[in-house]
Order: sequence, then C-alpha cells, then structure tokens
Amino acid sequence: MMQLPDSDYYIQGILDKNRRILSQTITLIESSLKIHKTLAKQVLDKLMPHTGNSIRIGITGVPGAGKSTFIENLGLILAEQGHQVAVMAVDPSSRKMGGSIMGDKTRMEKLAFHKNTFIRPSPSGNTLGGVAAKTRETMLACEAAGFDVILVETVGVGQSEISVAFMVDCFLALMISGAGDELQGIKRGVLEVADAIVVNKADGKNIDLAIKAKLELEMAMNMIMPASPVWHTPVLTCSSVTPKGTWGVWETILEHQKKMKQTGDFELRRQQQALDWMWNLVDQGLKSRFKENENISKLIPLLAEKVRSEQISPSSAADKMLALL
Amino acid sequence: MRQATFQDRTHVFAQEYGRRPRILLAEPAEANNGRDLKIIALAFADAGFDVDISPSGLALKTIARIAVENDVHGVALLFFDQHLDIETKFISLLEQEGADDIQVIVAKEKMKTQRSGLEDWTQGFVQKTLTRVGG
Repeated sequence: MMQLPDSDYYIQGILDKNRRILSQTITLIESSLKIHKTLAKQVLDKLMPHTGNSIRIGITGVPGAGKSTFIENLGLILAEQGHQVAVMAVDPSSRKMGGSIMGDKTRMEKLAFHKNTFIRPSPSGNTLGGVAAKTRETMLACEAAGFDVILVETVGVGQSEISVAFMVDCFLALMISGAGDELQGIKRGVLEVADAIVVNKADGKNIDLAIKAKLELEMAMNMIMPASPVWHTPVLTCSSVTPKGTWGVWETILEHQKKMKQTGDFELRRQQQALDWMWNLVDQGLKSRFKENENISKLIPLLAEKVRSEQISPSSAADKMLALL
Repeated sequence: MRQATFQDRTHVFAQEYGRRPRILLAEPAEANNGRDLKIIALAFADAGFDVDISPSGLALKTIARIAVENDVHGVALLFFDQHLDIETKFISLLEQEGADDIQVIVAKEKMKTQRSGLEDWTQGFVQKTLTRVGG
C-alpha cells in the first residue's frame, strides 16, 4: 500500500485551492479504513477555522424532476457571476452486489468544465451512517477550499433526502407538473422540511400545467405547519432549459438567507445542525461499541431467544444487556 | 464463475484501499455508442467497480479534469481507435493536474456490435482494467 501523505499535505493543498488535493481529501473522508478516518479528522479539525463562509443548499426531488438540469442552470448563473460553486451529488444507483454507476456529470456537462466549479458524485455505497454522513464533512472541505455556494443533490428515495435537509441552510424540493399522482408519491416529511418548493419544467407547452401544479402545492402547503415562524415556504415555478430560468429561485434563496440572518435563525440553525451531528456520531459510536463488546454479543442470542419465546419482556432483556456496558 | 472472481478481487481491493476501485468511462463524439457504453458500465459495476460515465465527445482536457475531481483509479478511453497517440496525450494532461497515478486504459480494438462479441470483449476489458488499477 502507498505511503499516506501527512495532514499538512491535505490542509495546505486545500487552502491553496488545489483541485487534485481537495479531491483526494474527499476520498480520505469517504474511506472505510480507520487510518484514513483518523487522518481525515485531523485535517478537518485544522480546516474548521476556514469553513462556514458559504451558502449551503440542498436539492431533492423524485427521479425525473430535472435536478441535474436545474443544478446545471443555477450553477452556471452563479459561476458566471464569480461564485465558486461546489456540487455534491449523492448517487443512489447503488447495486446490491456490485458497485454503483454514477452519471451525474453526463447531465451537467457545461458545469463540469467551468473554471469556478467542482463536482463530485459519491456512490451511496454501504457505508455506516449512509453517505450523508460523509457529505457533511465533504462540504466543510469544499468551504475551506474557497467554495462559497455548496449544492447538495439527493434523490427523493430513502432516508438520504431528509438527512440532507439537516445539513443545509436552504432545502429545495423539486417537483414537476402533472401533480396529482406525483404529489401522492412525495413524502409529507419532505414538504415539512423544505424551505422552498420549486415546480421545474415550467416551459413550452408545460407552463399551464406547471402553474396548476403550483396552485395545488400551495394548497397542500397551507395544511402544513411552517417550520419557522418567520418563513412561509413558497411554491415557485422555474425552467431549467431557458438561460437564467432558475434566477427566481436564487432570489428566493437569498431572500430566505437574508431573513434568517436578520432574526439570527441562520446561525442558530447551523449550530443546532452541528450539535445534532455530534450526537448522531455518539449514537453510532455507542452502537458499534455495544456490538463489539464480547460479553454483550454472547448474551444477545440467548436473550433474543427468551424474548421470542416470551420468557422475558423486551424491556428487561434490554436492561440486562445495557447493564453490561 | 468469472464474475465471482472479479467481485472477490474488488472486495479485497476495497478492504485494502478503503473504497471500491473507481473507473471513469469516456468516448469521443463520433463513437456515439451510448448503448454499448451502458453495457460496459454495467459489467464494471457487476464486477464491483464504482463507475463514472463522462458525457460523450468532451475534450480530453475536460475528461482529465473529471477524472481528477472524482479521484478515480483509472480512466477507460473507449472507441478512440481513430485517435493517434491518445494515451500519451491523455497521460500528460493528467500529469499537468498532478495526477500521474491515475491509470489510463485505452480500448483500441474495433468493437463488434453483436451482443455476444461485446460481452466477451467487455469481460476481457474488465479483467485488464482491474489488473491495471492494482486489484
């Protein structure tokens, strides 16, 4: 195995905005090897003072909602304005036995070679705690490398979408017209945590349908308690195929950010997210230590059998195991 | 049987390096061979690779940049048989980005469009690539 560079190599490389080293750092963050994880933590700790100077935007939507085209359109507007745009795409196309196929750059080809962008698709793999766990740290590395707009793309399938909502400043749910059926497929939970709902593909013959979908979604949103007293989640329409078609969405993101900063909610939300993240890691760590404990792992099959055969209640079985910790 | 061998090897690779071998597939514009590319991508995924597919017809410079940003172990340049010296050119582009450790695997063979021919060829290509990236 190759000699691993020391933490200074990664830290200096990131602060120098070296694309190659940022990319290698993300690999380190995503690695399943203990030695990589330890090094990644050292690097991130040192980078912390350089993080935070960005707006973090999460984007979810059912497959076919046009997320990649949307990101390409919005990302290009921002990159042209001089923003440094990093895109993290969590790819769900993971297969049970084999590896995964990631095609994100296939759908963001203009963005892929703009000088102000960095795109990194990640396989959702079978890492402990899901890929979202790594995405959060990747985001910090990108911020330290000077990226001031972070776009996290996730697909409206499984748990990853909600966890992304808890690591960004603004969470967008992308929808398409023809609602009705699609609307039923959307988990209520997503609408509850969204900061803006965007009906994409409001172009050409589709405009009327998009406006209809917007109205339906607005009605649906009226039945949901807003997460913040100062922000009522708006429903917007946009086109990702017309130049600057996503500009209105960006204006809404800025308005949201402005309001949240005025009330102090922006900082509070980030602080709360960092704390939640910490507890999340403690939970994971406890669980894996619990299972690594030999005395407990011997006891598990015995107690499980007793619970199955109703010789003991689940709660006292749990007490017996916990007592050994 | 052969599949299992590939999977064993990528599994060992992942345990040693902390992730699966990651490969970027790219083709020139004139190849326009999306279907074959998908079959090849699937074969790599079945073998346990994480596969990135580049948009077809990108400049070599852009393909190199994608390889660097995705931090792949190898880049497979497919259907580039009309391009001379492509391997040398591409390697020097990677070197400019500081990525001289990324393996470049060029498929020069004329591809057969028949399914069976392609599948056999693909298995051989996966085998070759796996060896090149150290799996």
